Amino acid sequence: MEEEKASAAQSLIDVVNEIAAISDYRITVKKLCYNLARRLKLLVPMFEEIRESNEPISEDTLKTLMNLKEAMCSAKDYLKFCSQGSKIYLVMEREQVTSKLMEVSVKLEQSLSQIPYEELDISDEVREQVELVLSQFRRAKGRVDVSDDELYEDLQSLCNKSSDVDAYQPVLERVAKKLHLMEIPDLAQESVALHEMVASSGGDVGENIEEMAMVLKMIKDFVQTEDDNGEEQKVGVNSRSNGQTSTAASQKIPVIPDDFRCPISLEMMRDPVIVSSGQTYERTCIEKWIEGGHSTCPKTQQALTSTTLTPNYVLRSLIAQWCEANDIEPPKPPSSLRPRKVSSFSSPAEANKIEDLMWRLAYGNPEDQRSAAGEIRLLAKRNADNRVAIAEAGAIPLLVGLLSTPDSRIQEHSVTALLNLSICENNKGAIVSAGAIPGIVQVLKKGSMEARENAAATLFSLSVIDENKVTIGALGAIPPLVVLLNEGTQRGKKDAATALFNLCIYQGNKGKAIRAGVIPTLTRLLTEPGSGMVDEALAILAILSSHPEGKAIIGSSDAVPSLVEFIRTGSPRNRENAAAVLVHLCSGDPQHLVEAQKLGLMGPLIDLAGNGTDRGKRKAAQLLERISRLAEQQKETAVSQPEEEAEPTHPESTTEAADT
Amino acid sequence: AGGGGYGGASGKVDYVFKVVLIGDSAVGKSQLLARFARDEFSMDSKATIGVEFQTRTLSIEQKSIKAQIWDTAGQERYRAVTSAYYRGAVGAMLVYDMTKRETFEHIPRWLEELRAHADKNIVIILIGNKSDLEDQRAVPTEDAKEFAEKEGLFFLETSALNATNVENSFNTLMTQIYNTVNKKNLASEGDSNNPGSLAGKKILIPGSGQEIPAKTSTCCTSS
Repeated sequence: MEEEKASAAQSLIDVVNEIAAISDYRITVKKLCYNLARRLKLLVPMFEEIRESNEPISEDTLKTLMNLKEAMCSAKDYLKFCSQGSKIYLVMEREQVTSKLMEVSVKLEQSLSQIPYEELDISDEVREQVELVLSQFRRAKGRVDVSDDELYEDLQSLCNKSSDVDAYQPVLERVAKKLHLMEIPDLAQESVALHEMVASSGGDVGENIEEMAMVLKMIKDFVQTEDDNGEEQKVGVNSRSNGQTSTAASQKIPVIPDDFRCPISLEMMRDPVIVSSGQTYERTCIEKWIEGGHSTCPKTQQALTSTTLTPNYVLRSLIAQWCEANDIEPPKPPSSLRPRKVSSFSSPAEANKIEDLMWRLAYGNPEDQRSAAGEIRLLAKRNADNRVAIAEAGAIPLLVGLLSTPDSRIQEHSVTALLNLSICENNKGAIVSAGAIPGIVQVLKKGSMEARENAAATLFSLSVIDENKVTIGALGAIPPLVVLLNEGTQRGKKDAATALFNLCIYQGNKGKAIRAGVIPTLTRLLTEPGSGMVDEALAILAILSSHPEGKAIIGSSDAVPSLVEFIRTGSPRNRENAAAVLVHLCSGDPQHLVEAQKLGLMGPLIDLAGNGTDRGKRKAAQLLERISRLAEQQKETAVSQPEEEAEPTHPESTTEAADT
Repeated sequence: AGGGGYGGASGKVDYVFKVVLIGDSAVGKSQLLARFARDEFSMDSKATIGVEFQTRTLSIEQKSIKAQIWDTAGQERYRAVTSAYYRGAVGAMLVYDMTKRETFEHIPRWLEELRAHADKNIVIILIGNKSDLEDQRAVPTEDAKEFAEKEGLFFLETSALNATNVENSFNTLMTQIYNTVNKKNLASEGDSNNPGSLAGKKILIPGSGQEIPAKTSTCCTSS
């Protein structure tokens, strides 16, 4: 049940993330959609607490969570429609759209209010946040956004008119501008959105869609007429009126259509993006322009309301198709950064998606990079195939590059994406050889707490491979891990401890950890009530006690009483690790053995020798032997060396489920 | 123009048939559609952008048939869809310009695309348009006929300008679709001799035999 709960909570988080990834709501429903998405994002901390909590929950409660998920999924679907659907539909059917959005939010509010919060192990603060979300949903219920009435009436007035463009020029111009339907690719996209509505309905869609198609046709005619008047560009016009068709078809060297050229560079675009004015440019060109301090659209002189650059996929695919049809090599991004071809995905759609993500990682503005890294993080978490495919697509060097960005969210997503990718055995080496360690260490030192935790978990995951233990230790990861062990959250401490444990299996790293001051922290964790870190601390101490410096520091830290106590009452694993530490301590200084005996070591030790784990029995036997030798050795001075430490038992790994 | 069978389909509709128009740019696809759906012809028509559709309701054997005809850009520059465009199509009009030889020579390529993406039993009619320009003819009727027979297509020469054979060509296509669908519905004799037979094919005809609400609410299309 606990697993089900965690996976239910995770799936809720996944849905929120998918919703958060939807962008560019159509202008007319923007506000409603953003509000809805924003409220849902506020629920994430609750889902995270549910996921992390150890409290069991009842089946009924689980059911309420699943109901919420269902409501969120239908919200997600409709939000997607509001982002990709027909612009004309969203205006002309505004009542239906608004009421559908209301219906979606009422459903969310209902399922949210049915969750029995008192049964869930969630903090007051998070509870308050959920209350806030609920009250926002309730308040939003009766409130309908006032949409653009002029636009609505303009569109209405265009319905059922003949396609005589001239008479409606001003209306068409207003509508085309407001809906951002001024360019061929936008118009093509809109026509596809309408087609999609008809096609997916499986047949008859009613007259309203037919009217919309007619309105779109009028807008197209209007835009094309404008184009012709403006530029004397007669591409594709049926040429009965002007004799034969243009000679374009018979020309040997095709002329690149103007729409495929960036208005700034005049080159064919390889990564066309749309700015907030609706114009399309080559990404690198417009980025330079904006970075140069400009805040207007270079072509229209309009002020840019945001610096968001939206990939123009339709145009990109039109360019690709055109290149193919004309036997022209399509434009390629600079080769050094170009992501490799995606191959491991079963469906081309997924491969395309990954390819787009790579583009955004490589060339996007920070916002694009952030969302792309976030999506990769989720995809990499989902399954093993994704991890292989994403790595093959060339994500690793790109993510490594992003570790050093100043944006803390990008850092966090990138490091966590690397963590998730590293679960795949083959990726571990690739990540290290891509030079990830310095970046990860940097995040571990300076990142947000969550980023630091995930950086530590990544180091743990990578350090499973022996050569990586050496590299990671040599590149300075150990001191910041010790810092995290000292001051991190519970989760951070666990991740740091597991990483340190792995790293310290390599002899050369032990001294580094000891000199970074890990031992006082570990002994504190041993005795601190409720630290929850006893298992890890004892396991690390057991391996460090074989190092001379480690032995000395543990010896001087007054750890013996707690060690004896663990041999008496600890878990089987803690008993054996505590005994292992004592074996090492006593081999150097019999005084510790005397002290331990005074603290009542004998009884528990005999019990351990009889009932412990194999390793526990061995350690206990060594200690008992030492004690008896010490007893008859009052005169003699021979001290034997203990048998060399066998591979210690690993503490529980926390990595697999580390991501959020 | 505009009288009789033109205009909205307010009454009962028994069948909706999706038909796609394909062919090179400037062969007259949109003009054929405008002539059929609204009895219009525009002297300065623009290149089609993306996809467009119009409908007209016909009566075949006392059944009300709504022809939903999709038109797409012949020019690469304006094309936006490929396979999705053919989804659910039960008929296709393959159009060339009889005054331009190369538009006819591209027909096999279009046919290939059609057969790659559409249902294999789709009913296809080959159309040689611009028959009013007889003095500029570059494709002999015999060539086209021979090709159509070889490939199992219906064939007609039309003029969207003076309306010759436009009505006829759509009617032929619709009737053929109706016959095969109807035959299939009655589960009668196996394969007909018709080259584009739909016999045995499962096609989606929403609302077949039942009333379709005049206003269908359409919403979420994403999944």
